[in-house]
Amino acid sequence: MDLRQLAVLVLALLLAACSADAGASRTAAGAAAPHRVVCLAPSAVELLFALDAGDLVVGATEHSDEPSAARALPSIGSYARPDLERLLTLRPELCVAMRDGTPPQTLARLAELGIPVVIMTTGSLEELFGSMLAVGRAVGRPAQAEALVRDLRARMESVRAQAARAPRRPRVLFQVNGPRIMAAGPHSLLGQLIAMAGGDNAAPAEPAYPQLSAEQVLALAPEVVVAFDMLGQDKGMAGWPADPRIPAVRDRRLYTVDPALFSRPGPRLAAALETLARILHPEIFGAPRP
Amino acid sequence: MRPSLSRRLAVLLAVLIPALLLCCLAALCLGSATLGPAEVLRALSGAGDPLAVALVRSLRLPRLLLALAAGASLSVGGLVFQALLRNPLAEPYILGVSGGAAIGAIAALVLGLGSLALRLPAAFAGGLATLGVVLAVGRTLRASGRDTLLLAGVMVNAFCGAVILFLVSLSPNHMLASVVFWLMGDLGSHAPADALLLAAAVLPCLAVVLALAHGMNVLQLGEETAATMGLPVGAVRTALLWTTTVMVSATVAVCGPLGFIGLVTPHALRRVFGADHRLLAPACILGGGAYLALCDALARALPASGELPVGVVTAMLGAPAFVVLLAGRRA
Repeated sequence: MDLRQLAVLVLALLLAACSADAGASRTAAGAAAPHRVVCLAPSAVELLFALDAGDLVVGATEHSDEPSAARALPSIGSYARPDLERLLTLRPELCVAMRDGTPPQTLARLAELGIPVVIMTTGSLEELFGSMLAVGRAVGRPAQAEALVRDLRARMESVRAQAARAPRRPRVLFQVNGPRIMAAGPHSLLGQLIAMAGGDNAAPAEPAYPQLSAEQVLALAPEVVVAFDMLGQDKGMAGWPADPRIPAVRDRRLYTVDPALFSRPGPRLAAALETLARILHPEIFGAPRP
Repeated sequence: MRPSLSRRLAVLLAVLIPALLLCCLAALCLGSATLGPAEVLRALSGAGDPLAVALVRSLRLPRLLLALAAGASLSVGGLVFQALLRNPLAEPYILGVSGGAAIGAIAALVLGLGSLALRLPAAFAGGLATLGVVLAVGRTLRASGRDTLLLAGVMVNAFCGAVILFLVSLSPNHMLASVVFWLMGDLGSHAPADALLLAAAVLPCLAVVLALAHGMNVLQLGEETAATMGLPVGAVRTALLWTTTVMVSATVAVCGPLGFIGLVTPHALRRVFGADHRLLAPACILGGGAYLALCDALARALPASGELPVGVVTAMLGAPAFVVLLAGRRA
């Protein structure tokens, strides 16, 4: 047998074995609530614990640190690149994933492997609430999910109503990434929070998270700047254009917030809104807590 | 007297096939959950623990196939470029062909043409265009010596790098992570269908190179001598260049620009099996596949959490090897 035939044979065998497995590993996706859930984002972990389903979570992506009980969960790698082998090893009966975060390839592979997935969409508050209810149904906690959504709506509506009485709405720039300034636009979920907390979003409407140069920031003239505390240090604003022509710089209204609170669309979003409202309208909500 | 070609081929196969099979077995065993060889073999047949079956057959086997196809294609690509340009340091990655293919593939990604069927022709066009530029620059500056071509390649590669960064800066936020991982060279997140498509694209190209292996030997004597010996030099060159660019571009479109495999494998194998391309071509197919499969297994097994992109492993092993080769050549 010459080499060409041999190579063809070896590869043909591999191909045969490879293609034969489509569906061999399908797990039953019955109506019964799952007992083993893997969360592909820290926000999903928070949600499951808030739904009183924390005991179902058997694994999560890195940085799932809230509530503290979640810190002991086995890690399946990063949010942007979950490790499928580790995920599979945890024998999940359900995965909770993010439409705008879980890599599409991962979602495709999970579908091939026959693992049921609930995909949360979090582009707006309504989408998020809908996703929370969907996760609640999928993990057998529909009543808890409805109660959670009801509570979040009430708390957020209360903030919105109080903030609406403010005499004026400051121009707000919410920086979500650095050192090049990327801001949350009005059409993002954070943009919704800014509006509810009684702010006027200074960032342009398109895209959802516009990238801004220092010159643009000067032109946008924000009166309040809120930024994620990127490196976990107090003075996260070190990279900020220290230009006193920017009203927020002149009036020392630069604030850093915990990215875990604001970037995770989950059960703590009402707390995030309350924090933001204190920053924007201390005259109504009281001074921001350190 | 030297043993006959068929005899040397038999020895080569007797060494490399078991080595390849061992590497394949290791690749199927290693990972975040290490499985024993017996468990792997049982899982391959579909028996035993369903988790092991899913790990081996649904995740590791397609990945192994991808590594074998990509490793073979990049190693043979390096071998062909080294033979055609008669320069032992030539390689698709260093000559910018991988970079050009990466531009094509990433442009397709950024334009939203995510499917592999659209990325493949874009990568091929990019690879071919850069190859044309490198060869043209090399020809224009021929007087300054044989390293001109390499320098032209390095420059074109640097330019490709800039274009790639430009395209990355354009890519939408939600795609950024996957684009970056792809750029590092990644075998981790592919559907079995991608592996099959790559294998289907690479196999006929490998067959063409095997068939032209004798021609590569004759080309080593210089193009004029090769022509007097009756070799259709132009046709053989063109066939080899196109075939190689097709398979390298296809590999890049799927796995990202994996560096230095085309350099390390042909050189290592040349040391062992000599300079006859009729031996080296099959050796590169088997050895290149085995090498990448092993690198990928390391990329999966080494980190405590998550996994490394395999391009990190191949470049960390390959770049020092390149320096060693370069130093050996100057001495």
